Amino acid sequence: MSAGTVIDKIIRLLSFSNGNGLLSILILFIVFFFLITLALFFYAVLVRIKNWLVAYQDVHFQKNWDSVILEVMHNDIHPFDGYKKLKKKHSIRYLFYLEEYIDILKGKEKERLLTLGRLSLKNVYKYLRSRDHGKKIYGIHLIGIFHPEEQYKFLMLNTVDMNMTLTAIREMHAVKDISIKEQLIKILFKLPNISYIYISNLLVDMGADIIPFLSQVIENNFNAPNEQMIAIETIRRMHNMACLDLSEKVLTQAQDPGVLACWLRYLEDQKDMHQLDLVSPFTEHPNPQVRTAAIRVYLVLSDKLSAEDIIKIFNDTDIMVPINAAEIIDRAGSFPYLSTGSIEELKWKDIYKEILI
Amino acid sequence: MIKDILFTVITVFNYIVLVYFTTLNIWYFVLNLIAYNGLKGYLVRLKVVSPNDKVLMNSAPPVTLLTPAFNESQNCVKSVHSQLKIKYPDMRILFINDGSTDDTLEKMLTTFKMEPAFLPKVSQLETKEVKKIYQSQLYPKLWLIDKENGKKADALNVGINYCQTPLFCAIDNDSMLEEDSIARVVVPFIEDVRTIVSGGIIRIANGCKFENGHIQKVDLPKNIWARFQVMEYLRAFYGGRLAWDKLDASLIVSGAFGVFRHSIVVAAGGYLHETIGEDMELIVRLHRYCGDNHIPYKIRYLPDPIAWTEGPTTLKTLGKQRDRWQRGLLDSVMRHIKMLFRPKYKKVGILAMPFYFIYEMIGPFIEIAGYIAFFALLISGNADTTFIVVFLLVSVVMGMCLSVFTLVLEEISFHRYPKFKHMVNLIFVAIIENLGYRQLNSWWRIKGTWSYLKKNQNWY
Repeated sequence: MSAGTVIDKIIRLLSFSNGNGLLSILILFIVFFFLITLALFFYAVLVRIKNWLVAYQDVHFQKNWDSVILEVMHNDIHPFDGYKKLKKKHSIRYLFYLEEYIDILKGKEKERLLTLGRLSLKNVYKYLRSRDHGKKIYGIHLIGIFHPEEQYKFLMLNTVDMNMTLTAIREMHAVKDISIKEQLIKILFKLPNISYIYISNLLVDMGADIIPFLSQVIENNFNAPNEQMIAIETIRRMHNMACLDLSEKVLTQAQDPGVLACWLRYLEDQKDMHQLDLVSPFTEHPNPQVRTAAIRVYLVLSDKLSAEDIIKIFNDTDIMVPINAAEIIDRAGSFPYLSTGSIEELKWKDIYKEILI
Repeated sequence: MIKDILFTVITVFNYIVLVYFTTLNIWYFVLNLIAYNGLKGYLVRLKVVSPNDKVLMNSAPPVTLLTPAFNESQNCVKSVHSQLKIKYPDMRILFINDGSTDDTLEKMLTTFKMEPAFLPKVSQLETKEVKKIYQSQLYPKLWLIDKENGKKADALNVGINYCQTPLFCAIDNDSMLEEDSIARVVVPFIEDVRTIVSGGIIRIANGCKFENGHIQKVDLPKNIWARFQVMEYLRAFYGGRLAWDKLDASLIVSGAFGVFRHSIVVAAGGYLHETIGEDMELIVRLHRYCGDNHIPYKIRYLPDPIAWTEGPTTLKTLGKQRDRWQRGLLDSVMRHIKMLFRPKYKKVGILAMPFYFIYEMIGPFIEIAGYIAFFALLISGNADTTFIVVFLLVSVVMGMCLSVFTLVLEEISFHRYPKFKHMVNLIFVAIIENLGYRQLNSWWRIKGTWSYLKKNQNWY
């Protein structure tokens, strides 16, 4: 069969007019998917080669970066001189590498490396205006680390994308201006569905100067329980006593069980005996989460545990109450007298017996 | 006359097979594209926020690891040692001995110096009787519950009853978790309080080297069946689950590695005893429960928290596994068939359930029936041989395309198979799996469907 005949046959097969339309479509499928497969294969090979090259380059560059970073860190050379000695000093890879050092440092050493990093931000600013979502995220992340105040301006213009906002704020704890910090906290308050513990951990890194602002939130934002919970959790994690005066107001005005439980956990940490009378009524609160937190504080603050207390706790409808109480009673190590019969009548007698043993 | 009718029927059926097959592959292709997009976003995120980040770890909720085990004398100590090395701020391990008849219990008690202890039962899911609870004197976070045999779902329910943390992680005893797997898999719970389940990728451990329960060297298995599974798992987890996650319609979180919110699982009734696919059934039921009760929720799948698991190496055990999977799938879909096409269940009802129903349940039948019809035409002399060859070629090329796409996803992301020969090997597997292995899979799935119809509940 000559080449011409074969081509003629292929053309006839591919033409829709020869009654073999379906066959033609199938052949087109084969060609199309085969070409895609080939393209994907070569792409995979290219990616593999690129990964090798990057790994190879990283080893080479990191030697240079390590020596310069260490010299700057130990103040052997000025950051500006270090910057001159760097290879690939404007690459994202370098900045991410530098970030690894910065993450584990504090004080002046960290400051020196931040200065060194700031000198390489030229390309990063371009990323902020990139259409590529990934580059934009890298940009805001790196500016957030090296130039948080600059980052803030960008952030104010881009608060629609939650992912981007959170990425930006995560690295902005180094901001020094308190008014900017307050704005950042307000933005964080508005981010939906994020665990309040996570946000409070971000706030802890912002430092103690945000406490007056958080204190105001606790005192006034009763219509925004999530904000109050974040604020309370933050001061609890900061081990700050400044807000104890708000106890009466919170415990009398807050309606949200989450806020109450949060506040009670704060009181448990503070161990302020004066709070006992305020806390006692909450040991009978209908919400088990609040009741559990209240009983924990009550047990921590009260110096004497009565038999009635034991009966009440170990007959509670929710098992988390006795489990939590047992942990504290066990730690305290002193028990009121309870007859064997009374113990046997307890709803959660197994838990009580366990701490007695 | 009859011959003509028969011929027409077979021809029409062949066209149905063709349409079905084409739409299925287009679907898979679209899923791969969605997965590609999702993976890119995830990688960007991973670059800027490490899962071991201090703020994330300080916010990590306590987790209990539930490891059900039945006659796992050979693996149990190794697995627990590997679990003890997991880096996570607040984790408890509950090893549940599901009435083993070998020396699993004795080995655990002696190796970890376990003494009888008390653990309060916090929820009341119905289970077989618990005989005794132990706590390790060497590792206080390690507990053992010895119970009567009641199969995996029952053992997990016992674990849930004694779990005192807001999250629990269900894993298979033969799964090896990477050190930071738990830290990675809980991130969705921290970043979105609506998250109720989060699962990670399962990879085939055959051929890899482990030391003290941790992976030292990644390699491809020598066994051909295990090698096929490497490709299959990559395709299922990258191309399938990642895309369904992006669509917010994940129907499966592998029983070998998944983290659950304790309270919602208890509210939904825990694992179902009388099903063979308890992992998928629970996920579908959670979708249904949240949909019925208007609870906002998220079920997430992440591509990098890794659990390594040994895949079957003989045709017989592989066949049994696939048979079991098919029964599990059928059971889960049929139990919740009312969710099909119901907008109330959002994308799960409109997209995921119909996909699983049409392509995963009925798929093997259409594929095998298609082969039979082609052969019928061939034997009767009515077949257009060119057409059959072309159709088979389409099938092979499309299959190859999807598999190579998956390899691209692996390359751009975690490229865990380090050598170039691994890549070439996997591409070779991607080609030859279409010539026999895929058909074998369809056959096993048909057998599984038959077993399901016969109400076979054996776990083998």
